[in-house]
Amino acid sequence: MSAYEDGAACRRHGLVAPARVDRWPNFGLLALMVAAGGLLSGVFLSFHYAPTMEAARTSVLHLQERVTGGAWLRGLHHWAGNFAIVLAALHGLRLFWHGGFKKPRRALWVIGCLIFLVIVGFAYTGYLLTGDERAYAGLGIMQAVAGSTPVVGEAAARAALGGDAISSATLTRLYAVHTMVLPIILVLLLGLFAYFWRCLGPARHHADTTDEVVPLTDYALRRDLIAGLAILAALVFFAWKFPPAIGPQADPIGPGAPDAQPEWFLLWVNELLHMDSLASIPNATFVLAGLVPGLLVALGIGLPLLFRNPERAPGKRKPELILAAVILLGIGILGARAAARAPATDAETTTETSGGETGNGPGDNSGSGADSDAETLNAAASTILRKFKCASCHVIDNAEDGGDSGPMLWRFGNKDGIPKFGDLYTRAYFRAKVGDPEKFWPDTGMVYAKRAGPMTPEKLATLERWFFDGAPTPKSGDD
Amino acid sequence: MTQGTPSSPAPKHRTGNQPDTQVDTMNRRGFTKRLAKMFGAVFGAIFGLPAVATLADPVLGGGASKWVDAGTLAELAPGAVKRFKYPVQAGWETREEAGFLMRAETGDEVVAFSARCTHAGCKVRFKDDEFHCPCHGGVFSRNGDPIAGPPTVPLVRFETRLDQDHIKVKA
Repeated sequence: MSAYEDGAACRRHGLVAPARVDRWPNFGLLALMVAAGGLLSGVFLSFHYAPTMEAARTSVLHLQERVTGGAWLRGLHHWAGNFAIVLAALHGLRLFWHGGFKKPRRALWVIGCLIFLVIVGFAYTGYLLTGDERAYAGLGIMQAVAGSTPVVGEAAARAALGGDAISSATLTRLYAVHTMVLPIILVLLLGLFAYFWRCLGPARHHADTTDEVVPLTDYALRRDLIAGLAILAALVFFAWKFPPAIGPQADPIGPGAPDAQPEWFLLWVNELLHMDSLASIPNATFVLAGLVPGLLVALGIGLPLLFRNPERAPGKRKPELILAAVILLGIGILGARAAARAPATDAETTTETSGGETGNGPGDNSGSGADSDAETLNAAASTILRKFKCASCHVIDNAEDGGDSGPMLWRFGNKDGIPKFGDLYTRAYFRAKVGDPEKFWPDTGMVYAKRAGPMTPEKLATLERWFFDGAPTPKSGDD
Repeated sequence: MTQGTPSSPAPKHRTGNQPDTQVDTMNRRGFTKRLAKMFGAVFGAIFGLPAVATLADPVLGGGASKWVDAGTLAELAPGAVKRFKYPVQAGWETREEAGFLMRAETGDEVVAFSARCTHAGCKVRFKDDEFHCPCHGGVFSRNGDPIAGPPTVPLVRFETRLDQDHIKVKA
């Protein structure tokens, strides 16, 4: 063992690093940097969040749409979390490639794996906090998976939810885990990591068998800083171009979201749960969503004990590499399949719309000119409604999805007493309100719609015609 | 500083960080230091600006008052005092707060008070024709003037007007 690796160099010179480094920045350091950004933005996000079923989504929406800088703060927090997962995973993969998990770095590998789990834990608990239908679906899966645990299932589900149902107690305890428990564990693990790292320094390239060391301050710091700046730029770009979405208000007794995919890093588990061929396994929920991921985590943490061969060159570690490749490929394929499924729902909606535009939609009334006019109007209105995200707050026309912070907009009412749209509002009111919501009523929640762009007179006229004179939309989405 | 060419074959590492001269080392250190400062500034700006903006938002916004309907004049007998509610937009909520309406013994004049004691902000109660503060024993007359205890300033009055039979309060 070299002087570097047994820590003798550290005792002689203070913190040291290998003199020879490869061309990549230190992904671990970069992960630490974005994690710090996530922690920092999280502190300020917590000023604007209420962990209750009633207020969670409203408080997030308020922050995002009405608080200056709020959308930036939430976007940066969201993407910092995602970047941290990716960078930490890259760090782990690189260490694996160079045999950096082997003696004398075994303790560091184990601690690093635990840190990675905490980072994923942040992203998992974070996405469940938004109070929309997607988060509610995720909470339901959490409940089911915890409940499927043999013997202690019921207790585990109650512990996860804080009761017998998904409730404000659930959000409050997830919030406590997200903002209190996980940060404390993370800091403790980072301290432990630093303790073990102090005399080992950054891992060596697998081909570096020399004993050369340099003071740590020289160690490729410029490269890491430049890479750090690039990562920050990417973070800003993602926060700007891909702001985290928030869906309709979760409604425990409503029809639920038409499509509720979890965060990307959980897609592979979701795909396992999705596969009919696996559903016949006894207690499939537990096996697929609890046991399989749990075993993989155990395998990752136990890697240094499983492969004790001190050889670090990848060419001489075929079994390790093949095992890793099979697992990563499997996870990748499952994730890709799930991701390919996700946007299909959007595509179906689009097809529906364009079908309407050409006048041969799946409804039973295609053919006559008047009906095709009605369908054109339906399609045009639905495009506008989607663009302005009206369904975030309103249930429109008996739709399956829609928020409930705005009044129901049912064009034809129903027998249970929901009045017809035309009975509730006059045309003049509609034009004034929808044409310029803020001018009409300064405190209106409809400023949320403003993000989609200006409500042009043409669009307003289309909407007015649809709301007051339009024909029913043919039911076609569900079959 | 010596560097391998990017396309050099395995082993894929360069020999870096080995100073040729003292001057070279100092230049490099200076550059790294500047880079570190720049990184710190960019990081601070990216996360600091939205943080400050979101903290400042509730401080800079708000405070808007508007006319609210406080019922009809007919419901308020001459000389009577009663509570009225007004909405306050706060964060993601619209909360309700209460104040008092006092109608003059004669005529249509109506005065609207805030229910907050001017001494330390507790909610006053109307009892025995006076406003009593439960916290430090302040007492205000039915006109809102301080008559006993620590308060020295009258209860805050809201602007009022009559819109036909309706009492409107700017709260």
